[in-house]
Amino acid sequence: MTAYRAEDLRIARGGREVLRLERFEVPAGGLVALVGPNGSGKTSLLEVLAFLRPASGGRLWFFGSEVSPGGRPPPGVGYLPQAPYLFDRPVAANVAWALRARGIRGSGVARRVSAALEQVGLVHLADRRATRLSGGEAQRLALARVLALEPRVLLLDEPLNHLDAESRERIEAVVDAWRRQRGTTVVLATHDSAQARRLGAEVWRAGGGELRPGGPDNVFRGEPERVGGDVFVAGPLRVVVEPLPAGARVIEVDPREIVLSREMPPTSARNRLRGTVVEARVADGEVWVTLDCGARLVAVVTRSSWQRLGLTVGDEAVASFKATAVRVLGG
Amino acid sequence: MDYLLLALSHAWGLLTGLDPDVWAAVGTSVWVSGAASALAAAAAVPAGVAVALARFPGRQPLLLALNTLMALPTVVVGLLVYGLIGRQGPLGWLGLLYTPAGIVLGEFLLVLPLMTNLVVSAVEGLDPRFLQTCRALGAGPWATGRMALWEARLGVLAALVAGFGRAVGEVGVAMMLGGNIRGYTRTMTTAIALETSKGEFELGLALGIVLLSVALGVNAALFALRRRPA
Repeated sequence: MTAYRAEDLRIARGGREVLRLERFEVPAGGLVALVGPNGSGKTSLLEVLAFLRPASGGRLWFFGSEVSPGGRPPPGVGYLPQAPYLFDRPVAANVAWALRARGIRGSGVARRVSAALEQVGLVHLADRRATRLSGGEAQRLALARVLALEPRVLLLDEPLNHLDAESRERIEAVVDAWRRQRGTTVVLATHDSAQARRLGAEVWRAGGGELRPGGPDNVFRGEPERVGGDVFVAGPLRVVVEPLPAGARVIEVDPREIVLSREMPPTSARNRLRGTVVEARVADGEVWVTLDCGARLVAVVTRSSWQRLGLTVGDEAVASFKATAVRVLGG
Repeated sequence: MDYLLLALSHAWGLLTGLDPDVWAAVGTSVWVSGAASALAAAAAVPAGVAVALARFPGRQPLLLALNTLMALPTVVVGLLVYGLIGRQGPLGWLGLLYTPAGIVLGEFLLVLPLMTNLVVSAVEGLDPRFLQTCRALGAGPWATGRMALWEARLGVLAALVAGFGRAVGEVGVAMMLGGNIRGYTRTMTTAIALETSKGEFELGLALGIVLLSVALGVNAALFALRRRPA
């Protein structure tokens, strides 16, 4: 059973195609992370999965039945946007309204409201006006409002961004509990690949206008060459990393931090890797270039600099980046 | 200058001396405009919320018409309603001409487009995430509309006050449909026009002061409501 299945789904924003999903599946009860940089179309995809935005093409199935674009969203989808909107009413009334709007009435409302607030730790603020909550409390209330409707699927857009530690832990714990106890399917969008890995999510990578299965770009496993040194060895790659903790086992290089050139450049960047261009895709005014330097390295360059370089598939090129541009993701 | 100050002190005397003619006109003005505004609000608030949230063919022309009607001259409304409720008019048998109810009807029509338009603007001015949130939570149009009214309540209140202000301050409708009958359909504005033309400048000034005070009172109440700590 799949919660979502998509075939050749296209997602447009402002009349322009931003993301294309050749094949996409979310197993029922699964945890899927959409990882990609800001602007790669993750939010637009979540809005399509929440039935708030029609896809511009392709087909989409929700628990086995095909979804037609538009129309009222079927029950069972809980969508938590990055900056949720709360009604200017007390905290408890925000949750109660969501239940009544779905036609739930009577004594069940109060019970479900307090149960939802209990889970996110907001019972003591039940009478507070929602517009007076802190950022973390607001996010938790929005989650409670969604959970009160007992969704089969939770769609979370950067749920842990810029939150206080308590809110982050609460949200992570609640989502985890729903997954384990109720088999709730979770799809979360994040630009932070470390977070996706920590939660044990199945990772789909958004970038270059496509959504593909697999880890994020430029993540390499390996270990420091020697303790106290600054060279990280990942198979055939030798990458200078600053600072390099002794326990580092995974590193990530942001594709936008990489500069491409034809010849070895006279720069201060300590990482200069020679390789062969194996792929170049144009998406959203940028070019996503894959370079084979022993391992595959992805770099994002602007269209004009790509044209100035005059590179094509099969050409040799050099990828340069600073030692400080490398992120250490830990063990 | 002395003339103005003298007139002002006479006007003050008329007010504090509880001149029955003055207060009758004040009373008529307030209840007639209040009734017209209340009726208009009963129609304008639901209509405004619906127009703001719904998408239907003819919506753009409707908004254009509402905008145009906001600037409707009061004498035109007076003229049209006169034709409707005058002795020869299709509603002449109701006997509304030269009665307070006649003024209420005219002011209702005058204020309705203004209020509806301002309610539409108030609801359309809500955060775009409001509608998305309602849809994501699966709320239907009825629940969404009621919550929209709550979220836009200050703007809606301002629309009602603006409507009352227009009704209480207009002369054309009250004059043409009320007939300025002393103690019956004489309002503050028609009294001011009449008294001034008769040379009774002090009485006109006294009424002008009350008219301003009414407007000040209503707007001060709205102001206080907006400033109230949320």
